[in-house]
Amino acid sequence: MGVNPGIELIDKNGKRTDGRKVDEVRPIHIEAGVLHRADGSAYLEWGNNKVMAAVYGPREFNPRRFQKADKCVVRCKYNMAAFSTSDRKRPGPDRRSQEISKVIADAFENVVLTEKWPRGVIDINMEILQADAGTRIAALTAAAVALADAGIPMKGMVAGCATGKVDGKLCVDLNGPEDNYGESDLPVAVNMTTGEIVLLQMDGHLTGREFEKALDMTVKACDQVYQAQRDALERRFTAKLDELEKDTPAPRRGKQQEAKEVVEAEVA
Amino acid sequence: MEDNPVSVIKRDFIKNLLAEDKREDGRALDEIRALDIQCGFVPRANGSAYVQLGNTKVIAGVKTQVETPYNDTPNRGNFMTSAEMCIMASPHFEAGPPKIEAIEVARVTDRSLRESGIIDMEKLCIEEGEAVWGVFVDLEILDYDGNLFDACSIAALAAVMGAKLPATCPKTGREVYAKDQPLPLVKTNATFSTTFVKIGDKTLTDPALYEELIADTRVTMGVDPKGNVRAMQKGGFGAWTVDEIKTLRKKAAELGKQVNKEIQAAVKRAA
Repeated sequence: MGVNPGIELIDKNGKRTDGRKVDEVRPIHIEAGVLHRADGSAYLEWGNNKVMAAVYGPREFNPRRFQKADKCVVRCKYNMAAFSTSDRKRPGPDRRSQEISKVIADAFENVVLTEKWPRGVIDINMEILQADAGTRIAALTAAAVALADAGIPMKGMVAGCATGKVDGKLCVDLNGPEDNYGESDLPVAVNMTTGEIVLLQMDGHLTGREFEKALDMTVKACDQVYQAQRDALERRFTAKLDELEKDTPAPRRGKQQEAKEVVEAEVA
Repeated sequence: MEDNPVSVIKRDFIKNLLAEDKREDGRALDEIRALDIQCGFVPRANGSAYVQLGNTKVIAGVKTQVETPYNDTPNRGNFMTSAEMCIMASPHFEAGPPKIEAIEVARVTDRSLRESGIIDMEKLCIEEGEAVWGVFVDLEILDYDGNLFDACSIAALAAVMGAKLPATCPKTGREVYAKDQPLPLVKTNATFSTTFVKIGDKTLTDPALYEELIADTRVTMGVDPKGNVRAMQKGGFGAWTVDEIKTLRKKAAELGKQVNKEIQAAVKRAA
């Protein structure tokens, strides 16, 4: 987080640099089932973030010493493309991406019915194609849709959002410039069925009162994210239904009809 | 890479179809899968392209930054291509440092771009011996359904052709131009690769996943619009005859024409 060189991030009408209100989330668009090989996948655009998520499994976990006897392991990989940031990022995992992978895995471990597949593993891979603040939550949001697309049973859908402090004011879902000069960050993910918090991180400076308000704002903002997830899945599975109906063969012709046609053909 | 052995049933199915000059997806032997190119897919990059070749999906991103030149080329820009086989692309890809397959794809793609001279490297020089532009092409393989060579090569070319040199270097903050400039290109040298595989005595273009996995041998040819050869790579345990290679070179030049048109059109659409 750099020092603000005097850019006004919130104007006197309470509007932010991109015209949003403090409790407004950037536009989100999700497309489920975009990859051919993966068991489940989702592509997400959230503001200027572009994220691809894919799920493989449940499948056997090798090598066996990593298996768990009573449940499956949820394994996450968060990775940023070399061209996703303004400066080229050196390819490969770093400390930041490994930590993010872990907290996201912990979040999904909570909601996935892992006890259904002892000794198994579910792999969740997230690729940040373009980064613009809030990538870990964007990755998690896409991954949740990919899990649902893969048909993996969960206790609830996971949606996330983050709240930060800009010019001393709490704002949900910081964008790039706000994030650069923001004073705090509070990413949260929620099980939308139970309302439980499954991911929580925080850095920066918030007073006790600010923290409580920020937490409430974030959880509330998750509703907007959840709506985008539902839309994507609804579109995905209505398309699938249409496909099924199209592929269903027409009812078989009766024996009599067939015989009649054969006779007619022979006569002709 | 794809370490899973192909089942005997699948292998026989493909071979039996080939005996009648047919392919699993209904293509002719020398037909390329549907190609979709979206230039400028990642605006954050200096140039980018999202390519779908059948079900194979690849993103190429170009990043440019000011660097010091190599000692033996003090007046030429630096150029590097690298490929990452994202683990999401296949159930068999594993995390870790780039495997030999990814390195091969990156190096063959690199060669057909570098050797074609599509980028005028001398115009990337800012100050001889001191500062030049470094051009990085990074490939993200997102969905692996065969023929990464061509998908990567097409994506890399399309990304380079639409790329811009920023007025200010994002890394060093050095101000080089008054405003963003296109990469110095020699457009007539637009080169990308065409890949062929041989299964038994049949040669086919643009192999899909299972065709690639059971192929005896493979050859990737980077041919420019004039039919000049710029890069080539043979792979697999089998062998080609001299005549076969000569015929395939002509075929690559012929097939390349349509693909080249699609690349140019995609670049123009995004501009």
